[in-house]
Amino acid sequence: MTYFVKYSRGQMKIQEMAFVLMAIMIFFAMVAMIYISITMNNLKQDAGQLREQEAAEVVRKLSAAPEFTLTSFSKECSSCIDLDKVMALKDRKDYQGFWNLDRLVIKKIYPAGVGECTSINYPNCETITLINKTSNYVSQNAYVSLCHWDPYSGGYIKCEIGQIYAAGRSL
Amino acid sequence: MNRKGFELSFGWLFAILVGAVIIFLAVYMAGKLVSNQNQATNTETGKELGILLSPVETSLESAKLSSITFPRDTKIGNMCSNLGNFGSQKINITSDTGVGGGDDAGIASTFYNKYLFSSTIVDGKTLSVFAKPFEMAYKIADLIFVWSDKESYCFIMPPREIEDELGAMKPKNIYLVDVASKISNCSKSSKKVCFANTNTKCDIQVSMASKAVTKENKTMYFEGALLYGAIFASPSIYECQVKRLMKRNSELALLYAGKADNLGAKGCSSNLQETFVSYANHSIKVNNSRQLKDIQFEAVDIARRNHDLLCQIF
Repeated sequence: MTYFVKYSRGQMKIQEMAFVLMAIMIFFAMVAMIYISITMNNLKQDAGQLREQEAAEVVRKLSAAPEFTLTSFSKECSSCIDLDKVMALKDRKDYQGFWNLDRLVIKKIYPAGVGECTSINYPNCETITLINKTSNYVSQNAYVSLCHWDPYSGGYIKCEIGQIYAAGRSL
Repeated sequence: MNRKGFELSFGWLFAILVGAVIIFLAVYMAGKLVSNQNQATNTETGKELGILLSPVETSLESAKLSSITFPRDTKIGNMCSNLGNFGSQKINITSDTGVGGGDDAGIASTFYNKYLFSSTIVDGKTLSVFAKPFEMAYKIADLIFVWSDKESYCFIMPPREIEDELGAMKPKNIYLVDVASKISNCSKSSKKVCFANTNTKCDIQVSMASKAVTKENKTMYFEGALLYGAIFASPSIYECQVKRLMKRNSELALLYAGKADNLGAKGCSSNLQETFVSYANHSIKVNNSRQLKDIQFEAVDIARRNHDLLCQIF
């Protein structure tokens, strides 16, 4: 024997309304989710751009920072980096978060050197890595003069061509 | 008599109630979204401002003047903390967007290598930014002095070097008066900075002899470019930045000690390592600007000894 449940007209209307309300809520929730995901994505992009911009400005001004700039003997070189000072900076871990960077490398271009600089092979080496917190980076670079005190020929300041590479903090 | 009246069915009541909840939620969410958007914009602006302050810093120049204009009236919060190895400079922005109340301050951006000297809150559309290197034997950092288009300063009888420097750069809203009796020439709203007289009308009193600046009933002591810092900054900001500068000075002294070691290994001994370490220890212990005088005394001695070296450390 088959029984059919018969709803009254009022009950049907309430059910309809409940479904419509559910549909409205789901629609608004979806719109909100799409909006939030787009906003978050834009925000992430903006933050990334700002960090790259910050890294570019840091690179541009780094050779003038007291920790890098060459001040001894010649005071008229705005893009000269004192490598003797940078080698001392390499041993100091306090500076790791100082410039808001995830990567900071100084590379000698000419004359070419080989390998990471240590107290044993310095100054006949290629790179000095000061900060290396990420392998995924977009780096900004700037050409600089890399200067150090050379004990030969009575001692003088010898400058070579190099580049600074810096990458902003990753997200 | 008609007794039938208006009857609200359950359906109507339900629809009104749910409709009201939906409308309330929609208005609340819209308000929240606008507020969050304002906060995000202000946070980005704060970071951008910090980045914009980098090109303002000096390399070989003795001073640099720039201006930064915002699209609308903006409040810049200058917060200084001396926790950690270098302390930190935090900048936050509250910009009046005209939508949603406009008091959603952005999240503060943190910088470790910047030293901003200003009031706790700088309010205006255009900022004047003046940078000068701070040296104690060697350059420690660039000091950045900031004031807005709503603030003005009147320097009464400044010393020759300040008069020349400001006269050459002509910073906005800074006026120079060379005769003490002409204090009335300063606009009423300007902050009067007196160098040689103790007029009651002076807001800021500078004594070049004792290297002291009295402002808001507090005395701050200065060396070199910190003079401007003491004039433009709130006393609490000034004292905090002095401690941060001394922390950086200490780190730099240790760096130079390391460099002296490296040069010694190359056959160029300076015998300055211990002096640098002692200088670093004294610098990090500086608690207030009054102690700057002792550090300056040591700095002069180190500079003299470095100058006489065959291979100079700085």
